Amino acid sequence: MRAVVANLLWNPIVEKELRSRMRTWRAPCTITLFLFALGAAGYVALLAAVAFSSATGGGYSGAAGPGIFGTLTVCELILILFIAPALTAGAISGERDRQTLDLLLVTPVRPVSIVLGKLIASLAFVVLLILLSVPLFSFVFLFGGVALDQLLSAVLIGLVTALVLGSFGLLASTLSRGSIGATVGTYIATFLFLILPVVIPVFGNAVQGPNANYFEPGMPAYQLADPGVAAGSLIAAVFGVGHNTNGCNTDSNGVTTCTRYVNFGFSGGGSIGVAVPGRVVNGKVISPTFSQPQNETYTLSSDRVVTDGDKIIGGPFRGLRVWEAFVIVDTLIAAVALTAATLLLGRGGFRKPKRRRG
Amino acid sequence: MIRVEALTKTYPGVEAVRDISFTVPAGEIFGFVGPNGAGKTTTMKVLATLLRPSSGGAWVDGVDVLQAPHLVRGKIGYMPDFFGVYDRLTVAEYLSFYANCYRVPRRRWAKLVADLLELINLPEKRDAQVDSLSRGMKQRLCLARALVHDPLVLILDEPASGLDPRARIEMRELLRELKSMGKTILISSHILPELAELCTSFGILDRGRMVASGPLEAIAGSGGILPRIRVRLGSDPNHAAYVVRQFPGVRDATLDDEGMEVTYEGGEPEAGMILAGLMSAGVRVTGFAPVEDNLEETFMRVTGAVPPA
Repeated sequence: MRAVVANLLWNPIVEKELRSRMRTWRAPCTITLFLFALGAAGYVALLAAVAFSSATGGGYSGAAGPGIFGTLTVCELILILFIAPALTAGAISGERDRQTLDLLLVTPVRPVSIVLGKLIASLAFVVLLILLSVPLFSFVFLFGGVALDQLLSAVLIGLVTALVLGSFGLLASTLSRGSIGATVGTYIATFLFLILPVVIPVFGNAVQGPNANYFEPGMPAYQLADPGVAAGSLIAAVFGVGHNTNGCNTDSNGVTTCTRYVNFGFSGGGSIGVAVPGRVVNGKVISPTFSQPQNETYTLSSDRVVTDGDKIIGGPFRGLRVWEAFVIVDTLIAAVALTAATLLLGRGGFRKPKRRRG
Repeated sequence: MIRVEALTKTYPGVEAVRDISFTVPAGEIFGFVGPNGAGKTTTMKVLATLLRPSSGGAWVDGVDVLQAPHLVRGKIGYMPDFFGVYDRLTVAEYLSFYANCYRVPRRRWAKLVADLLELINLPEKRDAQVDSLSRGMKQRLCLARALVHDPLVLILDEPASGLDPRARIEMRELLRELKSMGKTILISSHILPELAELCTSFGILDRGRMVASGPLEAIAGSGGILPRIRVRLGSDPNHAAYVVRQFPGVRDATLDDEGMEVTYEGGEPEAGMILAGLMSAGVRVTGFAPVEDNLEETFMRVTGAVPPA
């Protein structure tokens, strides 16, 4: 039994990577800059909260805690977006550049151990950064308004973001011949991963015309893969901002019906008309119209989800938090990327060797 | 111990290796000779489980390299022609890392590192940064790295390339020591003299094909390689050349400053006949000795190529 466990834990790469990583000046510099950037953002958020409360003539508002929390969460996520790809993009291609990859591949260490070892060593550094940021986050509790589990959710979002981006980096690193290509590729993939889920629907509307389904209720389920969406929903929940929905019901056939509160009407006498963008109700576009605030019932497309704060109340993953769905989806994406990287690495002769005759 | 059969590797548009077969019995040292791009590295990479051949097969200690590469990896120590070392690690950590990769138990690392550094004659560099070593030291360290798991077979691709003469001698001493330890070694080089005395047999590669293989004498005695005799003369060289050309087995006789070189078919008896013939024709012979073919000359003759300097 002990032998089996030892066998599973055996990974020479992790030990070596951790040892040599912490020997550079880069590691402490990254840590210092990371904490400095995060601290500065938190300080600005604190100043903003103070300014806001004195401008509105009263003590600290309830929004100070959520404001600082939101700022720190977003900033930490942005920093991870920059740091995580850099940690793994050079992992395999760097060995190739240094001509040590062959030396590693002829040992009995399996490709999966190499890939996982590199990933674990990189993630360990991200975990270190996140742990170091916990004292900063704890300032939030001085002001209240944020629950402990919400803070832990923010930490988890950061970790899973690092996992999925680190996996992209490893895949790019395996595919690419040089480290520079791998790094550029990883940052492009990171950018697309963040932007595409949010841009695709808008782009689709542009193609389909101005009256298309921009106002179709809910959001496409694939947006749940976006760390920005997960963090955004968490922050919305902390601020107590929900969706304009009055709940959803799913019948035995899996058809979800929701009710939302529509307030596209106008106030102020009714003499000036305000053009209201078209919206989709039950698959039909309701053309620009003026309406009184009202409840509107619609059927949800099967590929869309409806959220209330950070809760998913309709569509796939209903009943889960947005960040829980994000953790599930992105862990799967990371697993696919890592599997691909392992298979590519295991395929001997995948690339024609460079002619490096001197 | 090593068997390669009908090995072919093609890249799009390039045929790196074509139909190569050879065997290396246990304890033997097989020298791979050939100009750059002849297919030495490709063949060695297949044996090292790093490259899949297009066709053909390879076996190490009876284990199929293509079917069970993971089993082969534990049996071989591989030193590539180009290799790197990790920065930010000491020599001891570097060797320990690979010992760990080969699943050498942790408690044996310290002793192993000490023994290996003793073998490569670098015990004082134990705690030096790998990066700070000279090229020759790195090359010896890389050889030590290939020995951490005490492999049966060593596959050494140009272990002495880029070394200065002194480092090359040290490398040669090291290889001799490994030979005495009973390792089976496949070694390649395009610098030939360094292999000549070390190897028990040779394979000569040219443009992806095995042009000749076997012990040096066998290679030298076949494939249009004829024995030669160097004759020192005490009388008129032109007369001697005229006389010797009359013998049926003699193919060629060339004159130079030091005398005459005779190329002939046959062996010792024919050489004796030539000597007797020269004497009876009144030629004064002051020296008569077979030319010891060195590897470089054999190589040039077999491939018709000029070996790189």
